Amino acid sequence: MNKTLPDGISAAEFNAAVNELKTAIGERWVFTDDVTHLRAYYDHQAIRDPALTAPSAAVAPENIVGIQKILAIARKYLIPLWTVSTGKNLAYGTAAPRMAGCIVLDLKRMNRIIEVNEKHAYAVLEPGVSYFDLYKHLQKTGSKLWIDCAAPGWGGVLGNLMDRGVGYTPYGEHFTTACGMQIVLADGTVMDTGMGNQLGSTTSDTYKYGRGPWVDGMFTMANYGIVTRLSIQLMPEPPGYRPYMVTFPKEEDIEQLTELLRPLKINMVIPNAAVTVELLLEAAIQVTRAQYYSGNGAVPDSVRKKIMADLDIGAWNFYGALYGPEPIMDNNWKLIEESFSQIKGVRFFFEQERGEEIAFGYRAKLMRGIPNMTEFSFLNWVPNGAHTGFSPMAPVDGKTALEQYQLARQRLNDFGFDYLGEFIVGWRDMHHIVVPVFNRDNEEEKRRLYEMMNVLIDEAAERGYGEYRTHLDFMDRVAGTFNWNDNALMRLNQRFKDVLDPQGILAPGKSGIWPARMREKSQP
Amino acid sequence: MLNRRTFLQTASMLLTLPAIPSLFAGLVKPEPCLMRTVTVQDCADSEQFHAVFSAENDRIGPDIGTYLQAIGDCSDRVSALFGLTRSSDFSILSQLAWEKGYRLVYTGHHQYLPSGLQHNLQADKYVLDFLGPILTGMKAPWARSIAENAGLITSSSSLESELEFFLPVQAPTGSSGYLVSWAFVKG
Repeated sequence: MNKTLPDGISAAEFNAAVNELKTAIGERWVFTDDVTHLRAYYDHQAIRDPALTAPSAAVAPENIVGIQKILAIARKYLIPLWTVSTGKNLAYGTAAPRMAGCIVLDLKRMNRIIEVNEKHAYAVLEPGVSYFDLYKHLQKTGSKLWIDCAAPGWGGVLGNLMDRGVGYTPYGEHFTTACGMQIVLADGTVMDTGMGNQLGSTTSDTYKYGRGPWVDGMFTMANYGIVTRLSIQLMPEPPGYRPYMVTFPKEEDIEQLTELLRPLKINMVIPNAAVTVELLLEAAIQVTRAQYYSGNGAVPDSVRKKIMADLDIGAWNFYGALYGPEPIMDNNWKLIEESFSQIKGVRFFFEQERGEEIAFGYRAKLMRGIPNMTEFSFLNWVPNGAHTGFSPMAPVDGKTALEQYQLARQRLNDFGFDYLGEFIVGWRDMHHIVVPVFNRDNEEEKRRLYEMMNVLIDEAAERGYGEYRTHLDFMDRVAGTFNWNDNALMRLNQRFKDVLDPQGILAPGKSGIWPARMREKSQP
Repeated sequence: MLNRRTFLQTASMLLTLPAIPSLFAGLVKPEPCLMRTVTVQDCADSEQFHAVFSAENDRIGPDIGTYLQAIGDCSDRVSALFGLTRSSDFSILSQLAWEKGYRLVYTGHHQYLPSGLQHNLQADKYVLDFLGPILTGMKAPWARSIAENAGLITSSSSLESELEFFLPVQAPTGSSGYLVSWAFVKG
């Protein structure tokens, strides 16, 4: 295997840079061996050739001083860095960079939980803290605070928030829980945002906006700086918790159930980031496709019905939870039950009925902030399974939900894939997460999937559906769909990039934002 | 078809033990190495694998997340990771193994089809030349044969060679249908 090098950098220059990194950070924390440590920074669920996103090296500093040293070396050699906190999101590229040859700046060693404040219910932490880490820390210290975690418990609290990920408790919209960041800019400058920018501030972790322009948002899903510390609000443990599941028998029910859901969400009768899971994703946690169907193409309707019956699940399966004192939970449940009961064939389940089942069990944990990794079971839907994400946003609107579902399912089926997906329901929006599962070693299947994703992104955009997040391979294409007024927003993003990172060393291509020196060159 | 509950109760077994002597241990790897093994609970084939290492089994549930810290914590003293798991577990464990400085030296993909069992093995040629006849000879259940040759398999140095073969056997009751056997070694 030829060693991947940063674009335009000779082997001699690269080796010199690596030697400087070893001196600055320690040899143990600079990874260049493609078959051991560095292999962890490849995208092992890549749809295209993994070489297109292969890193040249990785480096793991222990603190901000280390980051500043790395930045100085990157600026000296013009070697781009790709920052990850834990780099564990398998659907969107794991720890791999958008552009081959980047050195991955892995912040996993910066994993200190700096403060947990029980009184004001927040925590201050570094990028390498995973959901598992934070949960265990709170358990160990007897904290009465809950975390909110994404489905992969090994993910980073900060990294997920920076990519605007979501969880499943009432604090499921992660970015809204952020309250101040510390950021290292490309030139090594360290700054605090919000109230933290005032020396000795007493409100840096309780009032997020500070004074003047509020800049936190522009550092999320971006490449303008490296966030090294984050304050996040945590949910106090409620006096009661009652997870539930509601099944709906027909595909078309997604329209009415979403309409019924909207007032329940907006009025906070359902306080958590609830989720409406389609039949096959629900099933794939528990069984494999081969157990039911050995033909090519999408699973036919007759088989879908058999799966529904065998597993006693719906075409759609809604998971939510009640929180609070018993009378409040009882009262809210009446409203929820009355509302959903308008749909013919609806069924309601609580923990005592389905708590032992794997799907209900892990969802119940997620909705109370207990991290786990059971959801990855759906990868076993097909042999040697891998997945990517197509993730358009939708309002909490029945007609839109049905249309998006039908569009996504039709295209996936046209290209020979099953639709596996869910709607994660916020207050006024839904993250429609579609996860095509494919055989990672089947090149023909991957070519089909790549083509399908491109078609779907374009078709969705034509209907006004934009993706909130995407895999490395589609960052440019998705960015291209946010193009109103001659790409005014992207041109602003590029102006920020040119000012904040004039040498273009931070995460080139992240969210489609390229530094000036790479902007004119077509990137694979 | 699998009983639903049985399939759901997929789990992993973890133990630390010296690698069992392979039939070829004297030829390929004289020193025992410290190894951790991972298997899937309540899967008929994995039970065969598991039985070979049954002295100290620590079975856990279907959540691979509960298992990661144990593997990560032992990486300084364990020179080989060896397992037979679901494909999804292999994906997760691989990521961790690479991070901890292991390299992948063997994979076996084992898929039950309606007409029989498809094996696809990757390792160095030396290992496959020994392992192929053992598995095609079918003198013992295939999963057991793989487990019994842990020493041989973990002596592989790369994934340079591939061996694919098909056996006309039916899936046992309680099989996961598709399993991956794998070996990582340190350094």
